[in-house]
Amino acid sequence: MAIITVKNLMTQFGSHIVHEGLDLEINKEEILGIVGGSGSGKSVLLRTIIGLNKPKSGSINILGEELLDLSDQGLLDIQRHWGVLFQNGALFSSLTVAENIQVPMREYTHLSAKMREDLAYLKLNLVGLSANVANKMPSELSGGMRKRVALARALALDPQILFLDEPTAGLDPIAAGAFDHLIYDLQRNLDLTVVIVTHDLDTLFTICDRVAVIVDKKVIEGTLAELLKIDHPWFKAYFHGPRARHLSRDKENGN
Amino acid sequence: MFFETKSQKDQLDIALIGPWTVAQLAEIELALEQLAWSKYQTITINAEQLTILDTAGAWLLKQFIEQIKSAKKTVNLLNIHPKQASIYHLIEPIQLEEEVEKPAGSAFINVIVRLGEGAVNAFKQMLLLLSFIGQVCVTLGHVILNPKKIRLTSIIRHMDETGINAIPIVALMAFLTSVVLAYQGATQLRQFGAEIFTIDLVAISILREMGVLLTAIMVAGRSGSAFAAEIGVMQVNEEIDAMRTLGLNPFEILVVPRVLALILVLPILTFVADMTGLLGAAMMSILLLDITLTQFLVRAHAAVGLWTFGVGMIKAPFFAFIIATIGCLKGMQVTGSAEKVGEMTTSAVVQAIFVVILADAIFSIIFSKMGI
Repeated sequence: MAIITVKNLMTQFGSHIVHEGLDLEINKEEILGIVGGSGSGKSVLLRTIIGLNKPKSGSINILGEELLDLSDQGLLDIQRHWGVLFQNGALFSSLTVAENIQVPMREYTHLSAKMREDLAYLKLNLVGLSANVANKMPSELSGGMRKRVALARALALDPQILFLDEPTAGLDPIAAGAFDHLIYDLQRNLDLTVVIVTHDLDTLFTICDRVAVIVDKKVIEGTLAELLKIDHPWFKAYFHGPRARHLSRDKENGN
Repeated sequence: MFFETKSQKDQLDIALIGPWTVAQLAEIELALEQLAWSKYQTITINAEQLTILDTAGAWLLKQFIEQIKSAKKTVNLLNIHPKQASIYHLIEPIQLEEEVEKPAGSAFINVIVRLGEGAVNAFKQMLLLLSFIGQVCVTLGHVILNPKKIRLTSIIRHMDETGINAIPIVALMAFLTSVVLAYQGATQLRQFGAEIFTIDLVAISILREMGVLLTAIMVAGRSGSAFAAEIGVMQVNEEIDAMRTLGLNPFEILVVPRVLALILVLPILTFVADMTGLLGAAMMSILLLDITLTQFLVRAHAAVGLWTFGVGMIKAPFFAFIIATIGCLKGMQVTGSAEKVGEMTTSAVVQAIFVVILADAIFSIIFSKMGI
């Protein structure tokens, strides 16, 4: 069942057309990876779906609502049903970790201060951080911890959909693997729909149920097995390149 | 309605209804607090009609169950859907650690501590500034002895940005300041019938002090901050480290051209401020004092000596050196993240203005000892 349907999307900056006639369906409770070359418009697509960027034409249906027809208030109401993890975390630098996680709760709920605090600690625990980072400032955290805190903030209102922009970029392979694992666990336990924009082939091969590839301003989506068979120079270069080869071999062997 | 209760003898049945999510949590929490469960021995929670449970709802449910357990009652959770059970079981084992104690001292001690820290920091800043000035002077000397190393393009670019572009605002500011001075002076001096001395007042104060001081303050705000921000951003981008690894001297490339450009430009700006200031004085004198331009010029010529003008101009390059050095130092002091850039830019302006005024006071003492 589709939770997000993008139809005939066209985005344009000045005279530069980023997407043209782009269709994309994202199913409920799946992990979808969005890949594509640098500058192919992965992040633009993500920003368009979450309403930060207005497309030239097309329709985006998300959680049964037509995104482009929504009023400002309607957009605010629907935004609480998704959480977004930006590439560098985008934690508010003037707030502590705990305050950062509480920001959406303050804005959207009437929870007591004690409950908010408890929930902030709970989210920290869910993303695998201990309570003693709660009073630190974002600048005191390492890159991996910052991403985890940002994930905790994205999960603050228990959203149905989680958008992740390059979640493993800038992490070492061990931290990246652990972060992939964390996303997978949370997705399975909380029944999340997860949309990941990524360059990380490991993420694609280990946790994504389906993959959407942006080539020639359009999206080609399918499971990895389907995409691996496509006879297109870009696909060949991407999925059969030296970096991907050993991963796909592992996958075939069932590892 | 988030739950319904049914009681029989010492048993309480609670049937959870509808969604238990973060959106309803505040109300559910309130409703649970009002529920009188403590008089029953056995409490059964039936989750059959529970439609959605998220982590926040599960957390509240877990806390409720633990509260009942700690009161030595029996509690059962029944008929929970497998999906909701998986969320509940994810949350159930989590125990929040005790909050980390923040170090607390008495208010009085904290004040003393902050005072001490402030004093030590101020002293360290002074040492840093002195060592930076030393470094700038050494590089400056080195560059002057090897004229090939002077980066003319860079100097001219900075002269354009800090000088030419600043002329309109500096001119306007000096003009308006002398208008204000003349107006106030004329009103006060009229009481003694000494209005004509308004010309002395305005001409001397503009040429000796106000022209150069106001220009320096304006330039500190405009260019000192720009220097700090430009170099700070380069520091964040590791451009300065990159320069060092490429064998380039950041002092030679970044600091010296800025310092030289400002030293060349500030006297010119001061001159502009002096002239527009006098223009303002002339205009106000003609309007307020009912005199002709010739009379103004005669009076001004009598009041102002060459040194009156010279005292102001001599200070300009020193102020320029202070502003440029502090701006560059603050830029170099940026470490780590971009937030620091804003902090250091502010600090560059504040410190530059402070040191300029301090230097002005020292100049005043020196000039009065010299009798000029």
